[in-house]
Amino acid sequence: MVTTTPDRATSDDALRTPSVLAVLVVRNGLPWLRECLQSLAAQTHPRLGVLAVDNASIDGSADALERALGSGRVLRLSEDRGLAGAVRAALDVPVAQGADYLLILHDDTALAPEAVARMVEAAEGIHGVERVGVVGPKVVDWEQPRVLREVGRSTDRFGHPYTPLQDGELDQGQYDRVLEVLYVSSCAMLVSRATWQRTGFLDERFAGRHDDLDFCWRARVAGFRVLMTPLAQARHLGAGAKGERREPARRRGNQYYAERAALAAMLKNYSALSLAWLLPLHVLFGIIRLAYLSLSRRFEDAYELLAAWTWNLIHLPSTIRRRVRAQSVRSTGDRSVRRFMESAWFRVPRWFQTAERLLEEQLEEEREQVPIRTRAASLAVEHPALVTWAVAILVGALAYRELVGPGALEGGALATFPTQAGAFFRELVSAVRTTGLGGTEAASPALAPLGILSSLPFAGPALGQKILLAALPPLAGLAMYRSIRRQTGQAVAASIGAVAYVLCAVTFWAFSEGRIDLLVALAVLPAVADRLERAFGADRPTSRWRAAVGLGMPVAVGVLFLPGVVPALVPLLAVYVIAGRRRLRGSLVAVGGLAVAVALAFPLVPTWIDAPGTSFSSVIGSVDFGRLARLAPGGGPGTWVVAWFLPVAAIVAFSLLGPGDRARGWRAVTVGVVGMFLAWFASAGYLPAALTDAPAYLAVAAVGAATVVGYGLAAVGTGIARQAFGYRQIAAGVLAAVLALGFAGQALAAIVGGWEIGRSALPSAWPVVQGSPGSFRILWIGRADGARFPAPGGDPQGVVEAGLASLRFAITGRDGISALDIGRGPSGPGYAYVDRTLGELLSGQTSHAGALLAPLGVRFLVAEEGDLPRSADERLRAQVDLDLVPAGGLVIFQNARVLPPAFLTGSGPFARAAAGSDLRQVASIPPPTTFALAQTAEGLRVPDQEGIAYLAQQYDPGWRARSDRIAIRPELAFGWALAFSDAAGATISFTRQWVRTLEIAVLAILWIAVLWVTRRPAST
Amino acid sequence: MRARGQLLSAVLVVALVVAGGVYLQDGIGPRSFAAPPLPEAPSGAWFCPHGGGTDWEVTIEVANPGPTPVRVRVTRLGSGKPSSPDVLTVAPDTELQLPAPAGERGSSTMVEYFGGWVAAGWVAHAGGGEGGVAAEPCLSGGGRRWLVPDGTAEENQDDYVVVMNPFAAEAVFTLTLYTTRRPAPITPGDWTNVVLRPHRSEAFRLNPKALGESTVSTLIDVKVGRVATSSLGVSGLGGIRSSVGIEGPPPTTSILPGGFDQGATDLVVMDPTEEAASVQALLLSKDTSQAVPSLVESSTNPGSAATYPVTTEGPSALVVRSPAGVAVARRSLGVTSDQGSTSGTGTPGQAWVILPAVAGPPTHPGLVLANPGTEPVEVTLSYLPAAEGPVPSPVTVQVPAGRVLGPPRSFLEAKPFSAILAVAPGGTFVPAAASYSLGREGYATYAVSLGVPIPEAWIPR
Repeated sequence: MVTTTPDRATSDDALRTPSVLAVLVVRNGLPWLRECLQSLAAQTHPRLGVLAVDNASIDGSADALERALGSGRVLRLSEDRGLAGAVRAALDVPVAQGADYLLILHDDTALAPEAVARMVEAAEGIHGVERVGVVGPKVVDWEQPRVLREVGRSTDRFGHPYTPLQDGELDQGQYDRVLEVLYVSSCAMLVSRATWQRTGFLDERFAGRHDDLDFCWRARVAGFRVLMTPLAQARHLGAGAKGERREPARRRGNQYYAERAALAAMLKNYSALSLAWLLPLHVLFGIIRLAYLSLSRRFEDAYELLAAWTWNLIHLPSTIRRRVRAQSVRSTGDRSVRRFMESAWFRVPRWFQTAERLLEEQLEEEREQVPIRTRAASLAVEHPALVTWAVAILVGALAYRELVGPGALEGGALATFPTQAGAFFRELVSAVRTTGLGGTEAASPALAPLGILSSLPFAGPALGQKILLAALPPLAGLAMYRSIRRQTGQAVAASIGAVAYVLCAVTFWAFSEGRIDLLVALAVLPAVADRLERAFGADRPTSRWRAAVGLGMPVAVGVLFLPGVVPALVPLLAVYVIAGRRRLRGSLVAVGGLAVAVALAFPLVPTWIDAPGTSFSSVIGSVDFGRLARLAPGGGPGTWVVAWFLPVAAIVAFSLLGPGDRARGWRAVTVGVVGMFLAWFASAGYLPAALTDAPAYLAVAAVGAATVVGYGLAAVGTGIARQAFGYRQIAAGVLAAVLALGFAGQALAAIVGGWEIGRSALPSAWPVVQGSPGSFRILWIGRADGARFPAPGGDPQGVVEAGLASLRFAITGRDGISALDIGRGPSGPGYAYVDRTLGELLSGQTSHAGALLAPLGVRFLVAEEGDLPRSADERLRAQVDLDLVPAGGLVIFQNARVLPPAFLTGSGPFARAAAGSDLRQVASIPPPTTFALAQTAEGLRVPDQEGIAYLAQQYDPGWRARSDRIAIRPELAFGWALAFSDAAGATISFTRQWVRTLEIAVLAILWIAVLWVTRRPAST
Repeated sequence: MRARGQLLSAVLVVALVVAGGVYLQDGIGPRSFAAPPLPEAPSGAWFCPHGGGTDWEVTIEVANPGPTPVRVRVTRLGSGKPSSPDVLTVAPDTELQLPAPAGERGSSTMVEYFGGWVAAGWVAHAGGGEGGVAAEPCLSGGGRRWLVPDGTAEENQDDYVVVMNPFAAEAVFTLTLYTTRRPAPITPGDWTNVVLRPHRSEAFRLNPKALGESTVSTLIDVKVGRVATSSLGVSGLGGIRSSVGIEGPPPTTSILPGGFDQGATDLVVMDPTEEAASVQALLLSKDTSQAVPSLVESSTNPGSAATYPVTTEGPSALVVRSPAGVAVARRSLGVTSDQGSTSGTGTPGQAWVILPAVAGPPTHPGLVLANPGTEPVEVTLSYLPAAEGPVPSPVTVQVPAGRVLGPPRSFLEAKPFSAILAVAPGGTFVPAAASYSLGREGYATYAVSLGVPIPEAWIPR
């Protein structure tokens, strides 16, 4: 804003008093109209006329106007034409066209007696200030005149309105100088004749919403000034905004109208050059905003944003016409207009203001010689979230430094992301699994968010991967913060509990290993636990249905990324069902939540029922109880001895709980302890496969432990200072010390880094495998000790038991574990075949494991150096058809008998062996001559030769080989794969894609419905 | 009071976790894994680096001592592309003999078997101006370090090392020769990092590299891939011999059965180590066991090979104890000019298949049963007939401790071209065939062939 100096007019000028016509626009304003009219009558300006325009009021306002002004000064419109329409109608009256100034006045605005005179004075009488086109008064609240409502307005670069006023800001004279502004409110707006004649008047399309912004901007482009004079004062009721005006309910929120006007005003008023760079930025920021609104489930706001864009798209032709008119009278550049705009990041200054305030507080305390420790403590107590975020950003920046840079991350257990985001969506909607051993198992709907994240502008899958890894730990902390905050109401306790959760060993381990699935589980489990606490707790939820949906959604998200969340829920649910306060209500909500979760993941449910053992299980884990007790499923940064801080802090915090917290404290502690023990039982192999997932149990244990820490801190925060010195004070000190040491140690570990993932974290021997041409699969093997495979092998998919030679194994494509398999386990008869084959190998009685693995398309068997049991290693080296490839860091066996994943062969032995599942036949198949099947748009084309067409793809009866109107059904090959006899010249394809398409459509509807039910309220 | 109760609760939780953790970790421990599953598709392979020459006749012998038929796939290897495999089935308790074309010095054969277990070996009968018979069991696996002790580059001797690569990956290896007279091992430049393509076999002639040396032992050090090796000696006096290589490290106790020779046996000692080694040998015969005098108070030179003469009579066996890394072989001269050779075994076994070492009639089959143990052992011999016809009943013989025995000649001569199954349920022993065949009297050729030990899982009960 620009301040000008008020100056009195000269005596010569005073002789010619400008005429002002007040155009009073009325719409159902009877309750406040009288006061408005009285204020007009009291004006001191000598040449003031009044013309009232009634916008089809139905409350008798028109009659009241006629009684007050006479019928000649009242225009009755037959329909509501809005502010712009009413002003246009007024302008049709000759007296209006002849007036030097028009004063646009809302019916809920009352002017101070000298207001008009002062505005005219500002328009004409300020020395050196010429071409004043528009003047507005200082607007105060109707009922509380000390509260400021308007002192002129501005926008950001993209036309979004901005006011310098805070809500409820009192008038203390802080704006008492004439300000040159971008625009003033149309509630009382003085417009010179020259201005409206040159620029035209208000844009009727805006229907009274932010049309003042557009009009003033046009006036500025045409070279006129816009001023706010504090000497003129008006009281404004804002009846429409307050809902006091009798009119149909608005269909849209403020967000919509502001966004609509902003874009339209930009399009009309910016020069082409400015638009060339501002419009793309506007679109980009708009998309980011849309994503944020969608992710935070503010769907109504997102919808309004989209609706505003749509309005502008529809009205683009008329906008262009108006733009031509506005630009035709341009007499100044955009730069002179932008002087009156705020920065595009106008919130940033506010943050700086907050920071400045905090700094001032600190400086004040420094002047008062408050010890730095006390100052730090007071800062943390008064602004816990701010301090937490500041420290987290600092530590996070240092921790992530190794991961920043071009290229995708790799290493650890990080799944390989596809090179294109579209691959996520293709896999999601595909009825055929393209990973592992194929089959028709549905992909996890978790691929949808991964695909969306990877599709965002400037983000590819590689960037999406990094964003996920960077965002998930803070999100987990946020979820824990919200959970503790809701339950205890204490921000400090919640902040510390959240930090403890983020810095615990299992979170570190998940991050270090790039386990996106577990990180998602860690982010949703606090919400699940909180909602269970709410459902089973004393507070009455607003609606059971909404509570069930609210519980089901995070459960579904967790399960879709990490099916192991299902077994992890068992201890959680068991504790609440046994020890919850409202068991019946809670159980109903829990059952409803689980039903919702099942519905939201329904395409995966058949597989879960068919093969629960492989769907939910993870053989990752350690049998070292000490390690598990500090919540570390494996090794790596942050899993060291300092990681004990959380369980120790949880126990100390538990001992501090007061009577009111004990019940939920017991529940949380029980969850933590049970989770710990279940993790051991899972790692040690005592649980059924479907309940075996040690990392998931530890994640639940971490939730329990961090929650107890939050409860304990909340208990310390309420009244400990008033209690006599004793155990509680000592324990609080111990708790503080444990947490401080733990946080410092873990933060140090994070800063030091050394993550398993990185930008060049694959074994040096990996190119031996990666460089092999063609399509093939890799069988990863190693000692059955609960560890993952070397990158990019991922986690084991199973264990073949053979005494001391027992092996863990996984089968992947040529790029290793794929992100397309997130949330999807190995299942189907092909994996049973792998199990049989490895069992045969480990029995020590075969020398032809390569031939046995050939139908799987396995070209390489890969193990980490030193990770094979000696007897297994000897048996592998004894195989005739497995050749050890020289490679450092990995033990790689190349299968001499490998077969392509899809081919035609005329080999009789192959056909005979394929017809059954007798491994003796398979082992003795001589290397067949094969002809590759060509990939076409319709499917796999079989060469026009006799033989058997073979697909190393798990069997499903939905496959067909079609040729000349004959559809050949598939045969079961080797007990698990697909074969087609007499399919010369045919095209092989899957015929039941429509089922999957339908599933996806239903799933989308279900998710939309659930998101809508659990949406956040729209912003006002 | 209430605060004290909460403290007590916390202590109880800690106690539970600590006690539970200690009990689980130390008291229970992780679940142990089940035993390996029963094999569904047993299979294996034999590698037979028999070598060959112009007009040589090589017979691959495959014997199935098991109760079920076993399918075999036989592939011949040489310097060119491998042959198309022959697929055959060996009936239970029978032997199959397959002629194997062997026109090259480096010829070899791979025998793969499926659905059971078979023993395999070869009998090579030299032709084309060369004479004699050599027989050996095939090798059960490829390896990365082979020692071939038996070799000589004396006048009238052409000795080779046959190296076969039956695998799909190429092999890269270096041959190092150890002799008696040369102070250091010989590593010829053109035998360094030799590349042998997949499914190929090649013979390396020792004479040019160590001309005139009476003992030439070879170390094959494989850098990439795997190979199988054997020695092949061709005497200008009309005899051949071969012994399979010893996959390193060699056993510290080697049992080398043989016999029925003309009384002259050579013990070849190869010491590729860097320290002098003291080797002790015991000669077991039908009636006695005694130390080999030529080895008493002698020690090998490091990085060398030497031959020690041993006087024998009838069936005999040498039990050689040597330091780690030292390999031995037994070379015997038949009653004519033909030789036999074996590198023996390190482990006596309970059950063996002894493949015939005769090339054609007339024959004088010989079988040596050596018992290096301290207890007598009862061995039951039965035929795995190669052809139709009456099969003699099994015989059982007792081999005294520390002695060697030849079974009844009548039993051996009943089916001279058939394999013999020898089982000692109560002990262990080492058998070998030491046979004469061909010529007018059946003594024209001589060959020694160690038995093939039957793996534990396949011993007939």
